[in-house]
Amino acid sequence: METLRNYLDQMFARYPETPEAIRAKAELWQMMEDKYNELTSGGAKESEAVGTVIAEFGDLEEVADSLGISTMLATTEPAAEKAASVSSNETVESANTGEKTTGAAESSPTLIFGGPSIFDTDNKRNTAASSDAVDVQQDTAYTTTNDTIEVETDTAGGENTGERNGAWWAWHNSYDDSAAGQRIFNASNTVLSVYWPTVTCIYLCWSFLTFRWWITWIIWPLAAVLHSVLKRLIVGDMNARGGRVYKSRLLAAVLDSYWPCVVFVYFAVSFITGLWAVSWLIFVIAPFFRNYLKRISTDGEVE
Amino acid sequence: MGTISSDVIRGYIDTIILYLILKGPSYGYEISRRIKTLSEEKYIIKETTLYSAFTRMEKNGYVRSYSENADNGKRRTYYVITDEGRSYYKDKCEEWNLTKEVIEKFVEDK
Repeated sequence: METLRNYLDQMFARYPETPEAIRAKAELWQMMEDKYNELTSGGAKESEAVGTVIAEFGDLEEVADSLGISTMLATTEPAAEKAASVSSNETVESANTGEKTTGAAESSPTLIFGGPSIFDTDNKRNTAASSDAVDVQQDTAYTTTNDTIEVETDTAGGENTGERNGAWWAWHNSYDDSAAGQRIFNASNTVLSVYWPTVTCIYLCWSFLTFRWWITWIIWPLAAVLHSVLKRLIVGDMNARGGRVYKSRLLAAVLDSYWPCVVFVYFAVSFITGLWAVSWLIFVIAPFFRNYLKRISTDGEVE
Repeated sequence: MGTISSDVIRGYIDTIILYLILKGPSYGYEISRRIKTLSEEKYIIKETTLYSAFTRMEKNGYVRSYSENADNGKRRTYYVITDEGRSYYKDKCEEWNLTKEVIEKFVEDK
C-alpha cells in the first residue's frame, strides 16, 4: 500500500499543487485503493496487487492535460491558452453529434482532424477552459486552432507510425523535388548510356571466345527487351512528365520500334549472307543512327 | 488478440461510462470493475483514462458529481448522469449503430 502511495506521489511530483491536481490525486487514489483492496481480499499477494494496480494505472499525462496544470507547463501565452480552450470546446461540442461534426467542419479547420482524436484534445484542454474563455475573440480562437491541429496530428499518428509517416513524406517529397528528380534522371541516363556498350562487349567476348556465332546472337533480342523494360522503369515517367514531343508521328513510331527493327535486320542479313562475324557491327552503328533520328525528330534535343 | 486497444475504443469511453450510470450514481472503481466484467475482461480501463473522462464529461455537463461517505467511512465521489448526458448517450448510440453498419461492410467474416 505504501508503495502505491509513493508511486502516486512520484507521479504528481512534477506538477504544481493546484486544486485540480489535488482533486485528481485524491480521486485516483480512491480508485487505486479500491482496486488494491479488492485484489488482496480476493487472495492476491501484496506484491501482485501492487503490480496490477500500477500496470493498470495509465499515463498521468492523460489526466494532467485535463487539469489546467498543463497550462503552466505549456509555453503558450495565457490568452492563447484560453483561445485554445474555446477551440477545443467547439471540437467537443461538434463531436457530440455526428451531423454537427460534418456541418461545422466548414467553420473550423480543427474539425477536419478532430474526428479520431477528439478526446486527446479534450483531455489536453479540458479544465483549462474557464467561463470567460468563451468571450475570447473568434479570430484568436481560430489562430490557436492551428496549434491544436499540430497537437492532434501528433497524437493521432502515434509515436511510431507518426515518425514513420513523417520520414516517408520527407522521402516522398524529396523524390518529387526537382533537384532530386534531376539526380535520378541523370543516374538513369548513365545506366542507359553504358548499357549498349556493355552488351556489345559481352556479345563480342562470348562470340570470339567460343566462336558460336549461331548462338551468341541471342544476346541482342534479349538485351533489347531488357533495355525497353529498364527504360520504361527508370526514365519512362520522366519522358511522360517532361512531355517530350516528337515533331513527326512517323518518326516517333520508328523510334519506338527501332530496336526490334534493328534486330530483325540483323537476323535477316546474317542468315542470308552467313556473315555473322561482321553483321554484329549493326549494333555498333545502330545507336548512332538512332541518335541522329532522335535529333531530327526533336529539334536537337537528345535524350 | 484478446483485448481491445484504447485507441480503438477512445471515441466511445464516455458512452460506456454513461451507460453504467444510466440507472443510478456510481463511483470510479465500481465503474471500472463493471467495465471489466461486462467486457469479459477484454477491456480494462486505465484509472487515468477514467478520471479524465469524468472531468471531461463534467465540464460538458453530461455528469455531475458529489461526495459521500461510503459504508467503510471513506469519502467517495459519485457521478450522476444529467439530462444532457442522456441525450448525448442516445446520440452516441445512434452514431455507433451507423458506424457499425458501415464498417461491417468492409470486414470479412472469419
